[in-house]
Amino acid sequence: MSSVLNIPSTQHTNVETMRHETIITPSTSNPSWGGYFIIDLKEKNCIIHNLTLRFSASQITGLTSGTARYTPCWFWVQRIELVMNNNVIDTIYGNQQFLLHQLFNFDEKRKFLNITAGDYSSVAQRTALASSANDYYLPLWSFFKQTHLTAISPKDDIQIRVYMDTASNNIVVSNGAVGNPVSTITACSLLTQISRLEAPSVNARFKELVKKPQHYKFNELRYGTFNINAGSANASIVLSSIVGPVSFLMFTVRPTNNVSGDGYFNYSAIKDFAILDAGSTNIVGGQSIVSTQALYHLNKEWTRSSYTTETALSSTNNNANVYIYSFGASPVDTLYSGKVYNQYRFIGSEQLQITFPAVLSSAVQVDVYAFVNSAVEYASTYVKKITV
Amino acid sequence: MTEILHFDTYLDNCTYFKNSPYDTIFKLSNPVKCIHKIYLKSLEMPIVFENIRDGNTSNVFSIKINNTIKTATLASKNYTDINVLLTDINNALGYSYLSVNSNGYIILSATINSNIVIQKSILANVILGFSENQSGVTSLSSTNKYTLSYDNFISLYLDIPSKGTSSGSRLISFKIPLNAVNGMIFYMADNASFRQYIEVADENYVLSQFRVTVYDRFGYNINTGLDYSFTLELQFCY
Repeated sequence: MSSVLNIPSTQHTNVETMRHETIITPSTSNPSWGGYFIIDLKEKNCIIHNLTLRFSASQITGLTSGTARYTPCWFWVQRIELVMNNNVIDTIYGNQQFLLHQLFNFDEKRKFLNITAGDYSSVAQRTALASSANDYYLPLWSFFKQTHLTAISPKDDIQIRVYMDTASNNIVVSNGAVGNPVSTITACSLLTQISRLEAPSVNARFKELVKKPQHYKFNELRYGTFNINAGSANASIVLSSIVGPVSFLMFTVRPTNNVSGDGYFNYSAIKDFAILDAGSTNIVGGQSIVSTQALYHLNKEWTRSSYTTETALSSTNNNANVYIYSFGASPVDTLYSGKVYNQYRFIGSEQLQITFPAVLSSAVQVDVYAFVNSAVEYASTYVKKITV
Repeated sequence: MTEILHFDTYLDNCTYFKNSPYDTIFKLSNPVKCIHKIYLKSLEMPIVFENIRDGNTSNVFSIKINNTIKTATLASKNYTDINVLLTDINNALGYSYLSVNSNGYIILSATINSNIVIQKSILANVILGFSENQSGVTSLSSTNKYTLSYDNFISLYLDIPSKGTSSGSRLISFKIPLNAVNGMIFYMADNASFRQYIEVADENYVLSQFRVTVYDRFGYNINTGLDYSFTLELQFCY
C-alpha cells in the first residue's frame, strides 16, 4: 500500500506481512475439578503473543434453597506448567495470575477481564453467571506475553499442563443455603493470539537461528508458601525457595482457615514488612515499610491499576492488601516486555520480616511470588530456559 | 548421586494445610536443587478413614421413582456389614427399598408398577453394584455384586513440577495400593518390581517445601486421617 501512496512518515508502518488471528485449541484430555489435563498447541510459522484458557462450566445445581457462585476462574487452577520442547519453562499459580491481572492492567481493562472471569467484587455478577452454563475466560500472564516467541519447528510444540483445584474450594453458597452444590467443567479450550508469518519471514528467521541461538528475557516465577502460627505478632520467613536475580516480589497474607472460596481473594492487612539479606541487613531502604506506604505510595508507582486502593481506607474495601517490593525501576514495563531495570540476586537465605497489626488470633498463610529475571534460549534445534 | 529424606506429618517441619494430615506442607531444613527424580521408598500410614464418607458421594444414594427423586445421605461411618448399610439407607429413604440376596446382589423393590431409575453415585455404582442410571419397573437387581472394600488405592500427590504419572486426569504422584482395613497400619516399602518415581520437569526448581495431598481413587480429598510418615529418595542431576 505504501509503495503506491505518497504518505507522511507518521503514517508509515514497516512490518512484515502477517495475519493476526486468535486460534482455538480444544484440550487434549478432559478437564475436571480436582484433576489434571493438558492442552497441546502445535501451531507453527507464527508469533505467539497471548494465551487464554476458556472454561465451559455448568450451572451450579443441587441446592434446594439459597444461591451459589463460583470464585473468579483464576482460582480454579492450582498451578499451570508451561512446557516447550518437553521442558517446563515456567510454572504459574492461580492466585499469582489473579494478582498480576488485577495489579498490572489499567482499571478499564480489568473490567473486561473480571466480567468474563467472574468479578471478585460482585457477588451478584458471579451468582448470575453460575445460574446457567457459561464460559469463563482465564487470561494467562505467561512468558509468551513478554517474549512473543516464534513457533516454526516441531521442537516448538507447546504443552499447557493444568492442575485444577477442587469444586468445593471454588463454589461459594449463600448463607443458609441447603443442599450439596454440584458442578462440572464440560470443556476447556486454549485461545491463542498469534501473528501468522509468510514463508519468506519463516525462512529468514530460521536462517538466523541456525547461525546462533536467540535469547528472550522473561520473568520466571519462584513461589513459596509459609504458615505462621496463631499467637505471633511478627514473623521472619526465610525465603529458601527464592534463588536468582529478582526483579520484584509480591506477597499476600490470608488466614489458613479461610484459603478457599471468597477467602481466596480476601487478603489480610499487615502493619509493616522488611526484607533482609543473608547477613540480616535491610535491603528495602534501611527500615521497615508500613502498610499504607506500600499499598498507596509504592504501588502507585509500581502497579498500573487502583486495585490496592480497595482496602480499609477506601469506601470500597475488597481487602486488596497486596504488598510489593521492586528492586527494578519498573515492574510494569518488566512484566510487559521482559526488560530488566535492575535486580537483587537472592541466594535462598534472605528473610521476609512481617509485623502483623496485632497478635494473630489464628494462623495465617503467607504466599510469596518472586519474579526472577530469566531467558528462553531459542535455537534451531532446541528450546530451554536459562537464568541471566 | 542420591539422598534419602524421611518425612513425618507429626513433626514440626510439617504444617496442616486444611486441618488434616492428608493435606500438608513440608518445609526442608536444607533446600535442595538439581533434582532429577524423586522415588517413594516407603510409607507408613494408619488407615482410619471410613469406607462410607461424605465428600466423595459414597454416602449418597438417590433413586428416581415415578419422576420423584428420593435421596438418602448417610453420616460417615465404616461399614463392615452390608445389612447394616442397607438398613441405614432404607431408614433414610423412609421405605425398605433395598435388600441383599444370597448371591451378593442388591435387590431394589418398590411398590408395584413403579418406574425406578438409580441415580449415579459412588455408593450406588461402585459399592452396591448398580450400573449407571440402571432402571426397571417395580423391582430390579444390581448388575454386579456389592463390595464394601472399594478403596483399592489412595493417591499421594506432591505439588512438585513433574511429568504427570496419571494416564488420565487424576492427580497422582505415587499410587498406594491398599491392603489394610480400617484401624490397621499400612506399610509399603519400595518394590523392585513397581518402583515409583516422579521426574522433576523444571531444571531450576528448588525443593525447599512442598505440599502433599492424599486423594482417594476417585480424586476426592480424604478428610479423616492420622499422622503418617514416608521416605523419599532424591536422585540428583549430577
